[in-house]
Amino acid sequence: MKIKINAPISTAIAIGVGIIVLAGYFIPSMDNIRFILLRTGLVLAAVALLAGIVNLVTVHIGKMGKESENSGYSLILLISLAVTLIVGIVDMIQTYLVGRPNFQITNWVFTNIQLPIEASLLAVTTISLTYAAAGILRKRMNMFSISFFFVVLLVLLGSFSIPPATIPFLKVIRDWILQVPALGGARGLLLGIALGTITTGIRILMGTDRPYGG
Amino acid sequence: MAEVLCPICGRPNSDHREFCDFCGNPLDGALRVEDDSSSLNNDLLDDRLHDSNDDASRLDSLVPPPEEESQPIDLDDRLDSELLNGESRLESLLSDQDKSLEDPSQVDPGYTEPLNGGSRLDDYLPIEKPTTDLDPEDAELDDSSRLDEYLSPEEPEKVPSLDLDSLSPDQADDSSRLNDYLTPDSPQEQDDLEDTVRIDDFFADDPFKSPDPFSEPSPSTMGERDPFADPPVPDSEPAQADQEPADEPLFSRDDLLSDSSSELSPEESEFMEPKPGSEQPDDVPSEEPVDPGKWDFLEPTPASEQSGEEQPPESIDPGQWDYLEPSPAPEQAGEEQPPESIDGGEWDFLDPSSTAEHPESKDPISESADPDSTEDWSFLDPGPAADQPDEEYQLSTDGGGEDAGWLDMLQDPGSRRDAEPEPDPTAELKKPETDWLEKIRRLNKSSDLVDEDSSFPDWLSVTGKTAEFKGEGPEGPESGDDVPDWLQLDDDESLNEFLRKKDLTNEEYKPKITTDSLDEADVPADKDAPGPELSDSQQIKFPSWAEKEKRKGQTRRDVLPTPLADEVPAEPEEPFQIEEEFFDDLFSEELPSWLTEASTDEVRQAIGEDLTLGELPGWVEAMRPVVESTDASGLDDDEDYIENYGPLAGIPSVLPAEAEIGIDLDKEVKKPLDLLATKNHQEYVDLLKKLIGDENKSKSIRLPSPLQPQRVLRWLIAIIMLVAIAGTLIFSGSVELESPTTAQVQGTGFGVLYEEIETLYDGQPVLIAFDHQPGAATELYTAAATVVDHLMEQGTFLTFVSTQPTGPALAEHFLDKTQSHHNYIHTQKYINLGYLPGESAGLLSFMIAPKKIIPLAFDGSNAWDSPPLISIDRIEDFNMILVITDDPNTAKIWIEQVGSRLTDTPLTMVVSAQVEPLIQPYFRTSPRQVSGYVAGIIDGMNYERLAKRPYLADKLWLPFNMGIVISVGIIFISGMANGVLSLFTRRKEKSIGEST
Repeated sequence: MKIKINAPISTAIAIGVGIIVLAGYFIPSMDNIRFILLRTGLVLAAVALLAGIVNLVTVHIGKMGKESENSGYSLILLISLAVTLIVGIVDMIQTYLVGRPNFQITNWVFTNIQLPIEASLLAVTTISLTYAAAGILRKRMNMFSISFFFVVLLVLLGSFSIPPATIPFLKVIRDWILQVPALGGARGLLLGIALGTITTGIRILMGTDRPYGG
Repeated sequence: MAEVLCPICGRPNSDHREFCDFCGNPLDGALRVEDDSSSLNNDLLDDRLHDSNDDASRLDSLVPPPEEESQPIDLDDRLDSELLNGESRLESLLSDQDKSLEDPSQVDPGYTEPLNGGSRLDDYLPIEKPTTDLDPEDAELDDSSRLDEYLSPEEPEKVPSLDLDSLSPDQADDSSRLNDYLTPDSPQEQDDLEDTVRIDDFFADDPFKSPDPFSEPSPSTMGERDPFADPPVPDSEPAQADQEPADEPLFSRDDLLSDSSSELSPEESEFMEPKPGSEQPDDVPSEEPVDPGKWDFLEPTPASEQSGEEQPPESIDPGQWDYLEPSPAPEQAGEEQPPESIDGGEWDFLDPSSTAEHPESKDPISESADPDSTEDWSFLDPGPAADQPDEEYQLSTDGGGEDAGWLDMLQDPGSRRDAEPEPDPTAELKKPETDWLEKIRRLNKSSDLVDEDSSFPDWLSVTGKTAEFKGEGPEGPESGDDVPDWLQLDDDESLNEFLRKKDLTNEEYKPKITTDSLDEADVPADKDAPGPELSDSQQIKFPSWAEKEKRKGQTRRDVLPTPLADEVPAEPEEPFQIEEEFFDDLFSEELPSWLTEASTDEVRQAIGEDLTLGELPGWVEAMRPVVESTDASGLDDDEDYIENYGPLAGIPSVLPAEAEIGIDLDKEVKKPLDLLATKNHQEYVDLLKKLIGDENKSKSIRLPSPLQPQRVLRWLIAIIMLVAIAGTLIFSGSVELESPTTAQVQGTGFGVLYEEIETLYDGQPVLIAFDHQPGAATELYTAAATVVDHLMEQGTFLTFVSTQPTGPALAEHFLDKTQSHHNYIHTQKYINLGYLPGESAGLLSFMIAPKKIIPLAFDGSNAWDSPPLISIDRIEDFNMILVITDDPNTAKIWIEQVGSRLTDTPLTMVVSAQVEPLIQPYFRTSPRQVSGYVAGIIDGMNYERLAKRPYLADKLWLPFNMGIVISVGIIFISGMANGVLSLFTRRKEKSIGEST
């Protein structure tokens, strides 16, 4: 029989830290203790980021060895990771040792590679959403799909604001949709999220839910 | 030549006859007798028929019938023929009355049981059940009912009635005395005619059976063998009876008249009186002068002969004749005396021993003519008997066992056992013997096939077992003429009837009396024979002899034959072993058990209680068809299954409750399966095969063409949007927009944000969080450029922080791309704190102690050394917090973790258009958790218009609107087209589905 010794320890640590941090909201004198715990948590989160990078490299190295058709993407990822890491290290050396300001090489990579790529992906999302909205009635012809279809049109048309072609009525409709039904839906959504967060916090504090394992 | 006695009617038939010549019943199993025995039997019956016509018939008519079948039968007691010689016993009864008065035993109250003539007579009556403990009243009722059973209900009119006119003066006297006894208070007691009617009613009335054959006696039938035509009883007897001690009411008038009813109605009184029709006919020779006082139904002719000699008058207690009572005397119910109060001495004439002492009393007729004997019938005088019950009781106890006689044999076995130990030695000499009994003995002796244990009663035993038991030999009467007619078997039918009934008992109502079947094994069967059936008066047919007599218009009542026949099956228990109990009971003080204890119903109930509930009787258990298994497995070759447990155990072919285990599947499979497939079945099989075959066939699927509409539409949408937006960006300029009005700005997010920034001044630290992804940079840059520019215009010290790893770079990029014209220098005008890990936890920590969480700036410089940040210890020390994010969750975290701790510092946001719905709830509250926000390009455009700084939003507004229009157009057109196509497709599919 295998006994997990770390399970009760990790659970006790999680519950204890959670209770202390929670108490810090209501007891000002406990801010110091809470801050120490939170600061330790930030360091662990940064280390976890490094652990994540190591895990990503390990996984994709493994995929490259299986000679699968997607192994090239893993190779590109690993190369990009290495290049970015090297660029960052170089910038750090230049910044902290040479005195060049603000990681210029890293900013260039970010501005010329990562930012356009992600912007392009978001633009493609625009086309995909348009195509999906156009095909919603083909896929599903019911009251909800029809409502969704026309609400999209009204909000878009309400957003249209070119002075000669502006339709004030549509703008009013858009504002009403955003401030009444959308606001109501958002409130409900936030309340639900809050309740779920409280429930999850209680479960974690009681040890019922142990996302940290154990 | 042998003859066969009919098991039904008892009449002799020739041995070659298969059916009875008289009754027509089959003679299977009938008793076969040789010529001698038959002749003897015939002689016997003839004698009895001739001699007992007068007396026995009358007694028979008075003997209560079938209820007494339940009484135990002591056939051993009947071995003594003297016991049946009622003639001699009546003589002794009458003759010993005087002696009984002097007998100390008469005074003894406990010495009354043996003299219960009724009980003794009951022994000869058909016994249904061993009702030895009958209640006296029930016994009386039973007596009446038994009597009724011997009466023919079908021919009541043939029952002779008494004709007092035809009686001799003596008889008339007796009749009058009887009338006095029966109806003491009747004003018509001197009316002979009415007396006769009362007598007729007496015979006729029977509350237990109607119609009573004697209820309407025919005068003609009374003529031949009128029981009242017996010799007259001396008038002195009633007088002596009246002189009997009143403290010994052996039998009161109530006993004589007693019946189940408690009162005697006028009709009953009338019934008690003899009718004129009951007169003895002239054609019947009366050997003795008929005493009017003794003409009555009792016909104690033999007793009357000896009454003066042996029987004290007072010993003849009316209670002695209670067994003759068909109905009680209601008016004297309170004076009823227990039957056991009969003085034994009074009934010495019935006791063989007593009769033996007086051999001269063998001729009952001659003795009945003794005037002294008339005194014995004084008990018929109701006056003294009724008025002095105690005296009667005393007298009844004086009888002793001397004159118990034949009535002892008629008594129940228990009482006989009680009386047995004290046999009067003098009574041995008084045992009367009749020729017919002697003939019976000879009959039995001559018939080697019949032994003692056969169905013959013990008193017919050839070995004289009973006689030996009593210490005397059987002595029959001197002649058949001496036998009292009331004790004589009228004919062969009586004897045969008795034998038949006994055989019925032995063989469970299947009369198979043959010489071969008469063995000892049949005797025990009597014990198991149920008596109630035979006791049922309705099931007992009127004997042929009774019918014959009634047809002849006689009042003779043959008591002995029928009771003998009927009581045999009714006493299955102890017919041969009750001598001691009989005599003990005989001399006991208390009432006989059969009179005092349970009635017939109670006995039945007791028998029923003996049965255990839920258990099958043995005879039922024996009927269960149990099959013996031949092998160890319990299964026969021809049997599938035999139940082993439960109530069905042993029964074959029972569906087993549990599944059979161990079935040989191979054997089962080998069984051929014969199917009768018709054409229809074959068609169904073919159709099923076709359906299965079609399923197995593969269908060709056409490959989709590379140019599908959906794919084309997707490319078309992309191309249209790219061309339109690109063309707009390239070829279009800025759009001049009007500044929004105050009404349009008030209450909006960008308006509040604008006002908040307007309140800031130079050098105040402002925390700007770049928490968005690079993909939303264009939108957020357009929305936040004017806001940040506004902040820089206000001269605030900007501090950048990001919870996203790309945030610091985006912040630098943002400043480089949008705010380059401000010439903000790091650590002088702004500071980039870099990345804040831990999301919410990092924010919480940064809120508590920003300097401790992020001590260095993005470039590694000391971030908090700048003058605007020196005073910063907590996040609340910033003058404004601006969060730029495209993630609702990030905005929520900032609001929940940071905004809740802010008191004076406004929390503002520049968010993407998709986050606006989620931000509005925090903005449209009071107080506002979000002081102001700018969402998307639209609010950026509005903020530029408000700030009157056209910038990115103004540049991108036309392409943005062009993209909206194109998108709306594509969505609308494509959506409507797809909707229509969808409708057609569905209709087509529906039509296809309906057609198929």
